[in-house]
Amino acid sequence: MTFLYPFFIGLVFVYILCIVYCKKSHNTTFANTKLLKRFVVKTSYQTFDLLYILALISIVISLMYPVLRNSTITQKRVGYEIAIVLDSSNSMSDNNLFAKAKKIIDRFITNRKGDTIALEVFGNRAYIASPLSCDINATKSILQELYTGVAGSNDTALYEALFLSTKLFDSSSKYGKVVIVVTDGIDTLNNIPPQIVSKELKRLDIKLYLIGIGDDYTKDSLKKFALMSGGEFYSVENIKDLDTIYSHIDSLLPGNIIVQKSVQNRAVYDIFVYLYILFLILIIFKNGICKESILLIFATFFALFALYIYPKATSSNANSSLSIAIDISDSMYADDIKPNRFSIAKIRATEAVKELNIPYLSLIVFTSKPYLISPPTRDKKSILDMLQRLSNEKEISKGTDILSALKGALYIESRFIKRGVLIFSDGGDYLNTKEIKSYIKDNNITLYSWAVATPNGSTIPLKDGDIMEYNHNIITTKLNPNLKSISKFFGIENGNSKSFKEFLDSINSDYNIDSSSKNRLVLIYLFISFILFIYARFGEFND
Amino acid sequence: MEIEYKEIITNITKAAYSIFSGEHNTVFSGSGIELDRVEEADEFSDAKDINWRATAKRGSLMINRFVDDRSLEIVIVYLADGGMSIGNKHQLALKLIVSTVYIALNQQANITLIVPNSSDSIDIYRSKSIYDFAKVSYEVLKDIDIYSLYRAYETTIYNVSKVISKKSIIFVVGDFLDLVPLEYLLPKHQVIAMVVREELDENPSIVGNKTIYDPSLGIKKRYNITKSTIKKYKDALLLQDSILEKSILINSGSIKKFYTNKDPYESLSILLRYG
Repeated sequence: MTFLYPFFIGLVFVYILCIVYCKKSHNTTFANTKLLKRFVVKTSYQTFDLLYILALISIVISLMYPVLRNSTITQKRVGYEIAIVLDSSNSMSDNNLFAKAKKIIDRFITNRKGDTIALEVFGNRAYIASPLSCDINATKSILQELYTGVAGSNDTALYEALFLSTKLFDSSSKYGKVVIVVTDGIDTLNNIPPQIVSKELKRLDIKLYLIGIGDDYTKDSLKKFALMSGGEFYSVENIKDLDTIYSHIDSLLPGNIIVQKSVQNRAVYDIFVYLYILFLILIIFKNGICKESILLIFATFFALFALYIYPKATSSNANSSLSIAIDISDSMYADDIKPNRFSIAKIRATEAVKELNIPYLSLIVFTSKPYLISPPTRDKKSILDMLQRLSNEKEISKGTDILSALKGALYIESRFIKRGVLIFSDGGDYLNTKEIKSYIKDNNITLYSWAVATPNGSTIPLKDGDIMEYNHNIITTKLNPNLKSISKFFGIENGNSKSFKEFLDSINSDYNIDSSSKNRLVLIYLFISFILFIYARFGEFND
Repeated sequence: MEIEYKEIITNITKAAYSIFSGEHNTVFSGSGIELDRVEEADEFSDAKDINWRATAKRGSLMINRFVDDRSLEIVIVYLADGGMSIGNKHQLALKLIVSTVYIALNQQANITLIVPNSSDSIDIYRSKSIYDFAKVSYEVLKDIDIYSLYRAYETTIYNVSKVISKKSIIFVVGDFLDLVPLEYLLPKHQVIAMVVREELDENPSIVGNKTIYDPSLGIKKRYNITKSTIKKYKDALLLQDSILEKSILINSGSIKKFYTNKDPYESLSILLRYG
């Protein structure tokens, strides 16, 4: 057992000081004790003092906040952090190279259970397709979405891709950091000097496995790169060899089975608060009804408050996640909120990523279907980067279906205990609130909604300056008021960042993130109880 | 609180003026007004009391004896102890005693002031040999080291009974928080009890686990006092007071309670006038 706030032991000295200095004031002068003593309650004052001392010990230990460290010995495979960097330039479409590579990578990812895996593509530029995530299924589904030309088709920004991949590990402290690059060409942009890339790989202790397909590259320079980082260079003539190499890499990264000691802190001050309350009740019982007892009753109540908000574990939010879901339907082009609903949704989502203290965040966009942008990750930087690049210019499908967003979020977040979805939407035209509510209840998820539309609504401007029509009727879109009824917390965009901040604070509180403030509240209640206890013991008052 | 002698005299004079004016009986009076009997004179008889008519008839010197001349002998016993130091009880007792002395002197009474001392004995001051006895009483009471005296009602009253042989009106001043053995004085003497109390003596507000110092006994002790304790204490004190009252009234005495938060002069005047 350890104590979070051992300095509260000092309160024992406060008690001792009170014994010394408050004794005089605690004495009363009365001229007829001869008569009075015939009726006083026969009390053993040793018992009385003992009860006070036991109560003191209990409250002081409670304030010191004892924590039990529950140690569990488990055998666990130490996972690697692997960034798979895939060349998506047009040349990779030759002989269906890209699709075949995707298949092999998919198989590789499937075998890497326990690892956290990121995906990156490069062509003219390098992009993170998926940040480091332990959700293998989500990563695989993103892999399926990748296609040649997704990052530009003409050039090969290999060094930029390598440099960007090192950024994925910026906040990582694990030792097993690996970058696997599959490319069929040499860097044609030279926008990042190879020396800088090499330095970063070395600094972050990243092993680089470089796989060159075909012969359109400078073998020597790439090999040097890979070997310098402690990795390997593979030159393959055709895609079949790639499978062998992935199997080889797989065998090189065995994943150590280690005996791991996992420690969970559990606050156990409640036991001592129960004892404290017990001793207070005994003192009250012995004292009878008097001001001293009334103070002790108040002290008991404050101790009970502290018990009421007793946090079971000191880190209760570790296994919780939130999906940020952004509506990208046509109606999000409406400009009743300037510049338009989608832009504002992006801005607010960016703020949310920065402000929310939830360990795992994921990003999805939705219309009538959900599309995964980022699986649950701790890498906020990557999510912010993805948000930056997010646009609704590409029409995927029309309509707004909140339920599909919830289903998408639930699919990727199934392993988390506390799951939530933060939706940025106008609510669409129709909401089946009953069905959504039932889904939320059945799957124990929490929906938070930030409405990016006005109740009056507006038309939907098109890029060519026209207004969206249907059968020669101008379409107007406005806030769906039912969005509020399905959400636990609901807010409407009004241009005021403060109200959005309050909205985020509510979500943070709902996630019970601020456990330290809860601890503080417990301490405040216990401390008030202690003050009342001391005043009851040493205070001077006439009944 | 320092009480000025002049202030006491002024206050009691004001309060007693109307009550004592005229030809009224007072607790001090009775002598020389109502004839009780005629008897032979002795060597102590006063010449002004000779009944010449009876002397002529009987052939021996006869004198008039008046109804109850003991009223002339006034004894004031101050039951001083540390308990009187609580609140303003001692100051109130001082006012009462000095005022009584002053009124009694004006009624030509012989006054004896008795206060206990720290050697379990009593100090006696008599008005016969002292010119301004009221002032002297004031000085005596002012100089008492009240904190050094512990309650010794029995010893004090017993000693008083030993030194006062002549029938007297005995004023007993104290807080009477314990039983005062007045049977040593009754029924020989007329006892007038002046009970000096603090409100808290009768209605204490000390509840809980307390360390109490009792200055009347010089003892400090811890007590666990409940509301029930206080109720029982109040009932017991009431009973004790009623026993005291009965024992005094049955012997033609008087009893009067004085509280420190009330002006004592008027009540005192009434007590001295009507008993």
